[in-house]
Amino acid sequence: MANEKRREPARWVFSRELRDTTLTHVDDENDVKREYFITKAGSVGRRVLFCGKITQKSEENETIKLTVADPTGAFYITFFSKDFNQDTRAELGLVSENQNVMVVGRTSFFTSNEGKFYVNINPETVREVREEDLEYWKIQTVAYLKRRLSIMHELSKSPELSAEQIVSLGFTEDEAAGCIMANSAYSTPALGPLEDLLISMNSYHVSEDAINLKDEVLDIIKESGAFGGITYQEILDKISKKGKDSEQLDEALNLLGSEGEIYEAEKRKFRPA
Amino acid sequence: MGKAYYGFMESAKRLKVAEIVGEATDIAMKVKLLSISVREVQGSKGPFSYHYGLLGDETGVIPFTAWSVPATVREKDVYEISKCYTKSYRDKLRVYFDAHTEFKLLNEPLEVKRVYKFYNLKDLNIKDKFVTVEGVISGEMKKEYEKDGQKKELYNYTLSEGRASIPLTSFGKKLENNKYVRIQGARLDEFNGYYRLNISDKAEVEYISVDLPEESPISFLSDLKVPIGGITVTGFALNLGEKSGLIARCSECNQKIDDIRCSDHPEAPLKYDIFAYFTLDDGTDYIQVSGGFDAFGPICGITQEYLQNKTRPPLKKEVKEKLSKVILHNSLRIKGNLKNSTMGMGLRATEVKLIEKTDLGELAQINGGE
Repeated sequence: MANEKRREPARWVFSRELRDTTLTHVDDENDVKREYFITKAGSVGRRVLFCGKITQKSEENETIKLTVADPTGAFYITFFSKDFNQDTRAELGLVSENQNVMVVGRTSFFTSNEGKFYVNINPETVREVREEDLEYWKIQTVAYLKRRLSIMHELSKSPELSAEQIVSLGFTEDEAAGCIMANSAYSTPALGPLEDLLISMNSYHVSEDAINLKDEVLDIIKESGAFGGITYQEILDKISKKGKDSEQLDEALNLLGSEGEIYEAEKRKFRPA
Repeated sequence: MGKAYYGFMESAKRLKVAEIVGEATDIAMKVKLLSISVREVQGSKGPFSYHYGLLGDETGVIPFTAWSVPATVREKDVYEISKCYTKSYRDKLRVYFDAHTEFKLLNEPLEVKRVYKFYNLKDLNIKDKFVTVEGVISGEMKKEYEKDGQKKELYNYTLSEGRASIPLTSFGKKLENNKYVRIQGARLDEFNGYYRLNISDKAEVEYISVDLPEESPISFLSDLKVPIGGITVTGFALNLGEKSGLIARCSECNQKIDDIRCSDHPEAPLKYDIFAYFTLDDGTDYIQVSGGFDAFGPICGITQEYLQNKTRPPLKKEVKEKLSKVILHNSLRIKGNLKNSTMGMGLRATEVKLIEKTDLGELAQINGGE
């Protein structure tokens, strides 16, 4: 692409990848300090683009807080109303809980007294989107994560690999640069949880049965109201009376999870988002 | 992309062009000087000039730079050249002549083998003007023109390969439509921001029987480096350009009118059209997309009847809202042609659609196949 001064690219990352991030890189060029997150899977940036369902929205004085759930967890968004960001303020006024949204935002970081690292998102754009947009973002984000994890594996075997050598394997310069930075920043990045994430999300090909069962399962979970969530077995007992089996239930649960409708409160216990 | 490694070669007495694979000193070659040009530059010690061009033999062609060359040396002549050397310049090997280099004119013919580097269409680079390309020929359009009082023919085609296509003009040579072809010696140039290929009778055209794999046409934005056509991309539209919306054109010359009437055709009535531009982000990169009625009309439900309705002319605000509702922040699948401009490379859209379930299946398959 052209070499003119470019806008900071928005990184498509899952909330889990961002949540596992503990390191940043500070660029001090031309006396302007810019702080970039470095994820363990090699995504480096200070702007993110993601899709999910709004599970919480609160407004206090000039501050609006949103929690947006993607299939892997939640993004935390804090908006401070200022004169220059009234367009975003207007967009935030149009979205509400349980809506699917696409968010583009800048990242900011802080570390708690206990030493825990947090990433907050300052939104630039928040708009309601369709189910298809949500699924599109998920499919592409899985693909990009998969590619970066492949590079991280190569780097774990041969840490001396150069960006040029990685590009010659079919990856982009951007992917190569990010992964090399992550590999040197985190001495041994633990990638297992992100790999497990990928396995659990290869779920686009869902059967018609699961799609038909989805709403029924969601109603069961919502109606249960049990503190800590309804168990898998309880849901299965209810649907098996109508001739449905565990395979169909698994698919329906995966689908609801990936759409941000439910989450696993404890192992095999589900609650509405 | 991996770069070729040009290590240091052992000095050799005599080399054919094809044997030049690294840097070497004190070499001798029997070659034909195919072209020679002079360039004047301003050095730190004042102005100086040097010569450059192409030389070749029966094994291939290579560029040369001559810091010093006898005045008697002319292009198209065959020489025994000794005490020259090779060096890599901008990742390409060149032959260099200096004050020590000796030229001996040979009065004999030498058949030169032209070799043209093979490029996939998406990797074409204007720095390499003559190339070998492959692809399927389609869309023949014949035209006649006059040159030196003689009627001649040219044929316009589209050459498609992988996830890209490019206009191809053949001067005099008719190609076979819908056949897979390998063309050696096609000339690449850039016109109005778009790449295109031209071939003459000298180009070698070979029809090849191949089983083309069925593949999705969708490209990642990060893979797009040069202004080729026939591109399909996906992504989120992050914004809608301020000047997007309803525009007026002169019905006579089709020029966009910013005033009340066309300065060249003040009597001609105006007609309405739409234009939109936005930034598309696919997670690998972003690009500026622009387009007109053909691209955005169908997706926004804007028809010619709506635009040209005399009793209820279209409203600017209404058109902008229609565009904004469909384009802004939605995931889109866009077909179009890449074009260079002063703002960098952009995508001129020919078809814009919302991402639908069928696209998701296609994308899942592409990504699963990696």
